[in-house]
Amino acid sequence: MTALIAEEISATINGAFNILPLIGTGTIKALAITTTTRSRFAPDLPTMQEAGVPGFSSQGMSGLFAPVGVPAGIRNKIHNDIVDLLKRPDILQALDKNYFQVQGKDAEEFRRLIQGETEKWRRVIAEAKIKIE
Amino acid sequence: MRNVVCAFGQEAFACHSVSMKLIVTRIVRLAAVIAFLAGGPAVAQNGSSLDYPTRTVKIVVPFPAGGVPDVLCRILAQALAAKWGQPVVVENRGGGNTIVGTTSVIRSAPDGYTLLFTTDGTFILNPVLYPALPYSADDLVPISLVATSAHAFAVNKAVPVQSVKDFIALAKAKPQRILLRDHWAGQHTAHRHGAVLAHRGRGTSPCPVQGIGRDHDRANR
Repeated sequence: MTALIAEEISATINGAFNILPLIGTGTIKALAITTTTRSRFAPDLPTMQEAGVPGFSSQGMSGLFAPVGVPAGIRNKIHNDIVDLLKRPDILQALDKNYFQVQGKDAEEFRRLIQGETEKWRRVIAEAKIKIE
Repeated sequence: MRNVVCAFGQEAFACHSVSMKLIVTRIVRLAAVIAFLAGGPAVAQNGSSLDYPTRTVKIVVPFPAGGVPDVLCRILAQALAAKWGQPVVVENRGGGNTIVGTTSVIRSAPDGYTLLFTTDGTFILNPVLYPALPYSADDLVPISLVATSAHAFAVNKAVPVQSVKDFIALAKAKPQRILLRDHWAGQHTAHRHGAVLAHRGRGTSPCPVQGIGRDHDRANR
């Protein structure tokens, strides 16, 4: 964000966490949100799709993983405990403050999402011939 | 031939016949396996008898402190520690588009005391982008998708546009002037976003994409 504010770069696609607090400060111009629906944290900001980029959809997923081999009993306990925490008002407030959208999805749902997103980005990256530098 | 009575335990080693000794050893092992199968999983499957955690749990965040996953992980870690009555330590191991921290976790004991908290770059983009990634997505088992967070598209205040459409038109007219930087410490998110912009721009000039910098972290601003 430093580089954007200093006008060293023209544009950025950056976490809502970094951009939304700067809306209205006059330091940058936020043009769109990357999710398919508007953010409740910035309801006036159009989505990329509304703004004229059909099909654009991206969001960050934050999740917990174990190395393969951790017993299912332990993994399930951790997930269930996290889901309990995600119901607590103080935790929800802390997440809200940082522009997070609570999910609390279990391993199976998470795995399906990962598969879907992997396919999507594999296609985009192949079509755009992107290579890591 | 001498009659040998073999039984489990000490007597097994009294067997004089080598082959007999081998058989007995196998029986002892088999018995141990049967005992494990009978008792082991019953305990592991039963959540109420699950004795976890009994010591410090370490959660590796493969990013520097202060970024999105770190902030979220610390909120969780603190609450989990209180709930579990055990310390939950967050260890930041940034670097190499999360590869350093992730590799450290997959090499640790799969006992539930070393976990990884990270974002999609680790488990979606790295496997797609790196031909020689030192880990595979299969080395990690998902536990919980805790939260998602939107990205936003912003320009610096001197860029003479008020909308994404204007921006694409400008990029098309003067592509050399557009430098798009992404939020992650590496290239790949910049590339994927730039690619989508270029791709979805329906033949408009792609925005030259340069993914540098470490703007991910408010702490590093």
